[in-house]
Amino acid sequence: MLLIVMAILILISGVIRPATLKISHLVEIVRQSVPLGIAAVGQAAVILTGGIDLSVPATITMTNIIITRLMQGIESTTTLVVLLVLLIGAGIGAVNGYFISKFKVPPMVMTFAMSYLIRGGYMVFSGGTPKGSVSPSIRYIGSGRLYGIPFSVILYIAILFFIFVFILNSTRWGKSIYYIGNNKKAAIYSGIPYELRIILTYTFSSVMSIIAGLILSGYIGVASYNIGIGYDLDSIAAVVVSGITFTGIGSLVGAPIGALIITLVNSVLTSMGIFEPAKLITQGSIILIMVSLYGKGN
Amino acid sequence: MGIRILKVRTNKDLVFRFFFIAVIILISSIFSTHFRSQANLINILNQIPPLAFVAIGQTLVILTTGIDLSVGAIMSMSTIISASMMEYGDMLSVFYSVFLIIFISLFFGFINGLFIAKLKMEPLIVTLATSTILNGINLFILPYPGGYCPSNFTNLFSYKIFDIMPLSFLYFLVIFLVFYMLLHYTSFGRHIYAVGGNERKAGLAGIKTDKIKIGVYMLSSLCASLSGLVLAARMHSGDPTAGEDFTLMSIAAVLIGGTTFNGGEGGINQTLTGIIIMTLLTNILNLFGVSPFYQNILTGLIVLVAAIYSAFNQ
Repeated sequence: MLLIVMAILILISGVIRPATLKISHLVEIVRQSVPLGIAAVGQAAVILTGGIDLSVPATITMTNIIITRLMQGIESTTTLVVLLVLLIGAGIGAVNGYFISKFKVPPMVMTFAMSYLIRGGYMVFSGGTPKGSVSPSIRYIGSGRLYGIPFSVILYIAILFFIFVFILNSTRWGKSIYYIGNNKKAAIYSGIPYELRIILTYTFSSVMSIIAGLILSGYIGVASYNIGIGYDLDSIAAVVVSGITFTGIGSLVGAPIGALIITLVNSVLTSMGIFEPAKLITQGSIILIMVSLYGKGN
Repeated sequence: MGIRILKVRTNKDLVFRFFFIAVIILISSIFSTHFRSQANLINILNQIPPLAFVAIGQTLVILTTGIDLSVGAIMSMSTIISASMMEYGDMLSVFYSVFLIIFISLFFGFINGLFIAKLKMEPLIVTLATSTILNGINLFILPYPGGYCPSNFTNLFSYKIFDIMPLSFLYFLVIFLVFYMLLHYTSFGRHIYAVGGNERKAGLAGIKTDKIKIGVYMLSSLCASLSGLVLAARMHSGDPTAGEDFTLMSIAAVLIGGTTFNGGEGGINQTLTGIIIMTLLTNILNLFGVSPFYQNILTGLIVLVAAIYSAFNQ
């Protein structure tokens, strides 16, 4: 169903602007959708369990601020810094998951409050002025090409492959996110370690946001406070558009496709010369339409 | 018997919160001459209404286990229409603008309620989507802050009785009373609690849950538009992002006040404490010159603590 929508969208954009049907342009669209796709996969896992992660933009921005300041364009620190931010991301997600599962804080409130904490944190860390740049390897990840294909796309496919094949269907956690969202009480009564699974879910989402932040930082190369803007709405839109619901229905695999759809729509609108206002209106309308269409199946 | 237990629990929480507020006010008054000043009191009285109206509306929605994320966009819309369509010295244009603002807000509230009640979609998603659409429209009409709100409009809100109490605060008191009576002395209000407590059973008991839900979202949008009008009068201009922060601030106020997302518990008295606490907090932090960065962290922490505390008490 999702792929049909995608095909239709590509056809429509081809009619509006024939240039969009060139392979190079389609590859470019995929490249643009990479950070969103990764963040959307994390968001999808969270939404499947009936929650939501509003700390995505703050996490992405935090990644950018930290790595630019610590790397300063020097190569040698790369591995350590990347490990550091991944650890920080895991920590953020774990805290989110902990409070949501143990203290029953509503996910919306928890992740929103967390985003305020993160924002305050990186503001204090950077003292109000974003400075620095990423190391050459990160730059390569975000903007380099391998045999003409953007490296980030290759990395993206590798990450998705790893997640979908090894994590989602093979680990107990991966399988449980579906039924936790579908019937929380039943899931708890069935004896699974509910709190641990929730913590893992939010940790997963935050780590995904960090990875998205790394790739995005590689693309822009410098520090910026605005890098994460829009990723909260966009990641939720990408998930929702792909048919994933808050009740554990839908497949995680749909998330990257949802991200692709959102990116495609944005790109078509931009190429038509329509700017921010209409993009917002279109995005909102798409969400409403797609979700109500999916809802008929419930 | 269940209701009586509920009331006792509610009263204890309420008293605790008001006590907390009293302590904060006391300490601040002792330690800061600025806080005690008349100018600061007027400041606080000015800050309360914008947050208060929208938080009252949000309370109603949260009582039905929903959420309304579109309130910020409605507020921005109010400021934009006020700043664009009102003419100086022409009260008719003021009336017409207010009428339009209220009509549009009720329309969006109706759309929200429709999708949520009839199409059974998640409130989070629906209100997020309508908020996005409305923000798009707002940005289209007024891409940058601008416009002008004439004084015959702003005076309606800023005139101070006895030089202390702004009219906007008086409106707040009136609306608060109206909604309090709505919630506690009408069947509509009781039905709101019923729907929030257990929607299925409420439906089986003959309550028209769809109508209640649609009504609640329309009221929330109405309250948001009132907030927007007050904001417009304060800012004297329009701003497409004016309401942005207010969405989550209204939710925070409701949460700090003690109404939970489970629905059916709490009310606007609770939210009142949340509103006062948040306003006082911002006021005190600004007075003590705390940098916005740290204010961010503090706000997040406060919301967190409040959420944990209220979740604990279930």
